Amino acid sequence: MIKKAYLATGHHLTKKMAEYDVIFPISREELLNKVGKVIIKVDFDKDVSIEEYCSNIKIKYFSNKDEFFCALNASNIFYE
Amino acid sequence: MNIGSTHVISGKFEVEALSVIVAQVPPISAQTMDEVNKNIDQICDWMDKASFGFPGFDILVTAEFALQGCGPFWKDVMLDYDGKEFQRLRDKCKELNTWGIFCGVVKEYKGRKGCNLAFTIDNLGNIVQEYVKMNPWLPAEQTCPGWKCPVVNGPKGSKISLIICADGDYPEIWREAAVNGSNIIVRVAHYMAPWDKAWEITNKAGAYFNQSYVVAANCVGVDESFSYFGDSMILNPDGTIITQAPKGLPWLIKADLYPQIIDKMREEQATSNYVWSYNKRGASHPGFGGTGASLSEYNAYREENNK
Repeated sequence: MIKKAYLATGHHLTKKMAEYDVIFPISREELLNKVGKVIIKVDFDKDVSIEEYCSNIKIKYFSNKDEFFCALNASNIFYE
Repeated sequence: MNIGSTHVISGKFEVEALSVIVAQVPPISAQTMDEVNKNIDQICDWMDKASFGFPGFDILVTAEFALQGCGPFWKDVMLDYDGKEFQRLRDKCKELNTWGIFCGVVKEYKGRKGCNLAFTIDNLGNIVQEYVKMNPWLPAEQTCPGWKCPVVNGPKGSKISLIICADGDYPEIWREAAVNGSNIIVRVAHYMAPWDKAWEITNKAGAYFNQSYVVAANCVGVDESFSYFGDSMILNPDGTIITQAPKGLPWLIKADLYPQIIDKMREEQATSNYVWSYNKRGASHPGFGGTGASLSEYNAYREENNK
């Protein structure tokens, strides 16, 4: 059996940022003021707020969308 | 117009259409100032043609050495920066209420002798941008290497930088132009056979690697030494060609560009954002937390290897 991964989290996040007028460049604080309380699906059986999903991001300012997603991805992976 | 980003580019934004003309001209390989002025006559004539063929155009670009040619007597026809030849071009831009980009070898610029100078004239006849060729074609060209790549705010949201011919054979100057903020990189050239494929490859690479429009203006004709093939072209930021002039013929090409799209891409593209990510290597690794690694690990860019 092949394990199926939940793939749509980035899509939901991108859609919500567009819906709430998150335009880059933007500070982490301002981004979270706009969409921090919005709930997104991060797994088949798990929904969290964007604030929680972004809680491990280390930097406080995103000069562009690429920087935001790099920082987010970096915050969501842990090596042994 | 662009293959774009994996992630959606969000938000509304305004764009303006910038109407760009390239005049692919056949300059005389000038030996006298009279012949230089005949070349300027020709440029002014092509500007008149453009004004009829493409009414309302915003900016016209001509090739490197369009004023003087590139023959063995180039030192005899060097120009004065404040001389009447440049003034004729300034007057023409003012007359047609349009911007122009030209290139000529000047006797002296900012205290440096023998500079291959590209310059932008605005619609009021002012020279608003100057660029000295950073990479003279070696070993043939004996002009002084340039020292900076400025960007000028042009019409319709354009941010224009200039590079010249052999500059475009080196990735650094394209990157320098983009990092300095340009959304349109103009490459004026006197590119000759047998390098017509290299001309296309480097223009495409410059556009793609730097997510910029590229306007590449070449000459046509044969002088004492070389054949200049033409193939002037205007390219999208994904490296695709919007329009291209034919090989070997004097020609005008025109494209409408949307400069604000480039600015927006650099803010909203989550992939292929090379002007940002080139020195943010591995920014998605947890150890780099969004900031990434710089270029300092490249031998090519270490100061000790550049002496």
